[in-house]
Amino acid sequence: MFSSYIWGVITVCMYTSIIVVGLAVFTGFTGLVSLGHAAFVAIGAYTCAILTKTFELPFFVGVIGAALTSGLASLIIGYPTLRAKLRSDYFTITTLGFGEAMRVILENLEITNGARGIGGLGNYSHPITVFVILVIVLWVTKNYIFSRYGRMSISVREDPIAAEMAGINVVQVRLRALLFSAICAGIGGAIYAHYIRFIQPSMFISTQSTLYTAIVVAGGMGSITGPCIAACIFTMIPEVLRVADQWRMVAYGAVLVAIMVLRPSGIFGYKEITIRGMRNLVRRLRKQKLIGPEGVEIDE
Amino acid sequence: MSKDTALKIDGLTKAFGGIKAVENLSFELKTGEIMGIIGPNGAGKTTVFNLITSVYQPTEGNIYFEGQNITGKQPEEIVKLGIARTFQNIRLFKKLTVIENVITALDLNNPKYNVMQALFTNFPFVNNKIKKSEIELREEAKKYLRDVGIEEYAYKTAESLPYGLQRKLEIARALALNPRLLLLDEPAAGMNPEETRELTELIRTLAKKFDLSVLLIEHHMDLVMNLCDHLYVINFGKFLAEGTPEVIQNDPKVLEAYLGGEADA
Amino acid sequence: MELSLLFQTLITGLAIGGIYSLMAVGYSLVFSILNFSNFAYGGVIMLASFAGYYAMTLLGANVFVALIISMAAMAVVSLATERVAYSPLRKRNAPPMFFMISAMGLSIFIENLVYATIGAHFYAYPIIFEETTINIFGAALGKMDLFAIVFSIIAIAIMNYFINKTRTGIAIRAASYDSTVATLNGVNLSVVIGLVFVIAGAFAGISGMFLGIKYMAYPNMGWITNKAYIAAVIGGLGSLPGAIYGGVILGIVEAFVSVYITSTYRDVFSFAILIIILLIRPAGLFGKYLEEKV
Repeated sequence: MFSSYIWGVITVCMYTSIIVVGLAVFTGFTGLVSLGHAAFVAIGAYTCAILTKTFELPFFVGVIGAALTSGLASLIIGYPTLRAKLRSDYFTITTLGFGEAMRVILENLEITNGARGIGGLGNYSHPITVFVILVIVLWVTKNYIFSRYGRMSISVREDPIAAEMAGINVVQVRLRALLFSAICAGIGGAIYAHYIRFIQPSMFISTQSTLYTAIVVAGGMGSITGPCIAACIFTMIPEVLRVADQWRMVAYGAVLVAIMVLRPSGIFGYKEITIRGMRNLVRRLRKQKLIGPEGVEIDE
Repeated sequence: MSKDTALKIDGLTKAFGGIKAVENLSFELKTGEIMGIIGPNGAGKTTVFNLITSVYQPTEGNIYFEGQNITGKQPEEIVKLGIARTFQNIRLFKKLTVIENVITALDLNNPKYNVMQALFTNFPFVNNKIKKSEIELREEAKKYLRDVGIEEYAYKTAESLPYGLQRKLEIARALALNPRLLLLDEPAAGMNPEETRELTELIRTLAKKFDLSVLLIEHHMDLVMNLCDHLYVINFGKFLAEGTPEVIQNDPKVLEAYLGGEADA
Repeated sequence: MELSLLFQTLITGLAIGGIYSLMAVGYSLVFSILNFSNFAYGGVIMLASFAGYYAMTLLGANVFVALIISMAAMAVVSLATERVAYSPLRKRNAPPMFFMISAMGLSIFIENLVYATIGAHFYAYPIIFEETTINIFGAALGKMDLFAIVFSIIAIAIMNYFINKTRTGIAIRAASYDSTVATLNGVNLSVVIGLVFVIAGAFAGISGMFLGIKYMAYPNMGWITNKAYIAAVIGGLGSLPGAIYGGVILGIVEAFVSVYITSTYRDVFSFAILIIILLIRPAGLFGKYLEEKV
């Protein structure tokens, strides 16, 4: 039906969404900023690549391994840095250092094959596999957000001191959100590795981390569907426009500042795109005689 | 010390850098009593609250809750022991709905499910523990909203409420934590005399209904004189006077430092 | 362990540590007053390395004149970043996170703008000292290193005097302690904040040019300008002495790790030290921001 090129773009949109949804829980719902998320993606990508290539294990074992190692790394980084609980800036800056340290480690370890990277990976990231994983991740994320844990996250984002005074362990809530986002990043990395089928440290630099955060912010704070759509837009625009990489990044930077100055909640801030919402929109448009036949009512 | 002392402050001092925000304060709050801390602006009243709830750590001194030394405990532990508070500059979870603000406090002491269940068992279209718990919580939260009289706003976002109702929501959230000691930081700030009178009644009713000891900071003298069994006056972080409202009203030191200095209060 | 090598490593560490300190001070100054992480600062430092380079090559300025040009240019750039990206947020009382993201955007913008216009080349500064090293106690010390140390100390001393002794400096400190109270006492917050960005810009002007001389000017200097933030966290965010000591400690540790342990894993060590310090002291060595105003 589609050419393999289009399938490729769709796959990229999907695994970027997986990474970004996790980050949305962390940034959009818990109110913390990470500038080292590419490092969690890298850990996932390398873990999965090594498990499937060196140890010849099946892909799903690689994905689980990726989730576990990324998660573990996030706890190691998160525990000391999120303890200074009212100032999350400590965490953000540490993630910068973490990203840099991770690149240096990947460039020098033997098992990661240094700066040359690992090639010849199995072509396991079939669009349907990725789609299934994306659906599971979205479902789990939705469950997270609409549970007491999600509510605690939002309360910490809205006011950490009031959250403490509502008996919430702020450090634990932040650490849990970080763990969640790192696991998503790890899974996304595993898929990425087996889609590109070749990974090297320079693919996971801090610019990439900043871009993930930019997608979450542009998509909307406190939204899951917003960042997903932003992930697709950010993935497809360069494909369509074919502009030079640097000018694209210049524009991203300007857009980020403009969003903060003009509409800080992002495109879909604090809102979700739901079926009910779409119906309401359609109804509103019909009322204005913009689309559809007149007089046709849709039931809720 | 026994159960009839809800709160005991002993030699409490807090210094920020070289400046002592509060110095050597000591007082006791009897169980079931409503006590007021008064003093001019910047006297260190809110600092006392922040020390009791462990937002700040005291430089010196100890804090006892029902006989137990709670100095240096984590804020969330103190809340779990049975102390809840409101804030001078209202601190609500603005983007959450009114009812969710209460639920956040409510589900703390008695969670019905754990993380793994929340993440992996909440299937769509299937009735389960998580959905059931949410419905129960909502019903329970409504009771607290009813108690402070803002039930009709349950599904509005907290930030959309008018100022006075936000204060009431803060009280509802604090009550949902099931405290035995309630700290109210200027609950009547920004309210007109009519609203203040209403709030005075509300606090009295709630204290009786929930069996609360109450410690409050307030500038509205009619509220303080009407409501409090006992007053503690501080000035520049130091103890100035203590006693029943009648005694304090006629204390020349207080009149000079406080009532004289702030005639409009 | 040879004594002259030890001495030489210490001087190298102090030189780079001094530059880290300058960067961390500029960053921390903004943090202390606006309470957010100014990630655009790295971009300003990078611009400074180009400003110094062009001042020396195109205008033929000597090192002192180039330093002054770079400081002045970056003061203007820094002030402009405040007016464009932060001042609208400040007027709206936006939470610190929005400032931080705005700063991130600005940082991406600056870095890639240089990439797209000047290109990803390395620009080496002209030779400043004919003889690059002098011998003290058998150790070969870089003249540029010594110059950087002396200049950093002078710059920090002047700023210290300004912050602690002058009326304006006291206004800045008052605003950083409590901006509301400071405003009530007649401090013009907008002017004070503008001034803080001007000072931070001037510090970026110095440190960026020294970095350019040491490592050449190029757009992708993020890996080194990030050290400013890391040094500030080690010292404790928002604390000026913390920023100075954090920078010096980081510089010296890096020099010793490179010489005596491993140069490839140097940045991993810096990161490990950051983590260890935060484990022992969650607010950094001189941190005072564990307790937020309620």
